[in-house]
Amino acid sequence: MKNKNITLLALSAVVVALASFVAFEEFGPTTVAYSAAVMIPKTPVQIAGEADYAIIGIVKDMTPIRVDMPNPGDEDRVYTDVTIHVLDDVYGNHGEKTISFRIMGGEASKLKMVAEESPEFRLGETVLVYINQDPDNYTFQGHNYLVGQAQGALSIDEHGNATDKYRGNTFNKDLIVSQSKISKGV
Amino acid sequence: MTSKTRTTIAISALLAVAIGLSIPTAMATAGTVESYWWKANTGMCYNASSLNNMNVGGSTGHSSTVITEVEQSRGVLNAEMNGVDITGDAWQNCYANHFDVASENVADSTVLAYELSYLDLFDSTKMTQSEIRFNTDHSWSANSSSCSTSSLDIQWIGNHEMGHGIGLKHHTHPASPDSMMYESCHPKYAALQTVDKTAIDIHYP
Repeated sequence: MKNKNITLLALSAVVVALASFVAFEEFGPTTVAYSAAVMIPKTPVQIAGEADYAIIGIVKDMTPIRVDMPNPGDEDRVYTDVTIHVLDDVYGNHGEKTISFRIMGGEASKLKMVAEESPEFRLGETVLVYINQDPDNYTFQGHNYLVGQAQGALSIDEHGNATDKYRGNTFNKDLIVSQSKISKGV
Repeated sequence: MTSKTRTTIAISALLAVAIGLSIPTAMATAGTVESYWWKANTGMCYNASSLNNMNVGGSTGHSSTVITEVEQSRGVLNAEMNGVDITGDAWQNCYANHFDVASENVADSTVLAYELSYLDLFDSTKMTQSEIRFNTDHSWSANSSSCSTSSLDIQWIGNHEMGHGIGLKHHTHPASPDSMMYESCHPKYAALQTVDKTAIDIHYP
């Protein structure tokens, strides 16, 4: 009888420990991290001169991902991979129906990262984005990235206004596009 | 089942819950500092090999210069921490457990440097780690008093990023920058300004 009780006790302890572990992982608190960068302030036209691609399109998908950074000492980070359905390949001759880029911030796998310098998008939003590619970059793990982070993203409304996502300044979309092409030399 | 058995099971279950909770907590707060060089009793760690990748004064291999500059940044903040000694043993009682300083290929040349603050899983008023990253895309300098990307003053940027590390946010006042925490590089980065000292007084009374 005594042995039976001990066995029951041990089994109960194991089951409860496992259940609490799973419950914690599922419903427990989320680690929060903040990112803040010192940026060089630039206008959209200046940003355009440094970008490989300028794309007008619709935000099709946003997928947050927790990344185990390879450098020793780096904590995990959360990035969001943004996919744009291309409406107008302003320059850069991208040639595909969609283009994706990575921004810092988002929430995934119990880590929430708030990145002050990153833009916020919403699904279905029409945007003008300035994108660079650099397969060797560490910060974005070789993915495309926005030039100037939030400075390199403008929201376009139905009236033809382009509002930058960093300072909230509004421009005429057609004017910005033509000036961007001049800045890029195309 | 006797009442004694039920009591034993209940106590065991409570212990098991405590153990179950402690495992992920330990996992969540574990650090990976083994490959870093810790300065004795400063509470600050530097990735010296990484800092060697920074272009300082036209060449690489100057991690010691960078570390000296960042140490001066720490001194700037330490002097205003209202008795909170951010060095030595007292460091463990500070808001941040440690600063972790390294360089990084950010690629985006509009970014000079950035700081990541990780908060305690159970207490968001405490920071567990502050990661300061200098962009290797730019050229850095000791005592240049410059925000030019061809000779960025290491200590200026260090001052600002360490300000984030102790919990200060960006100061946005485009018309007349008057803070070391202004959002873009500015000569005010040279030292704590009045508004910065006030913020620290509130944060560390």
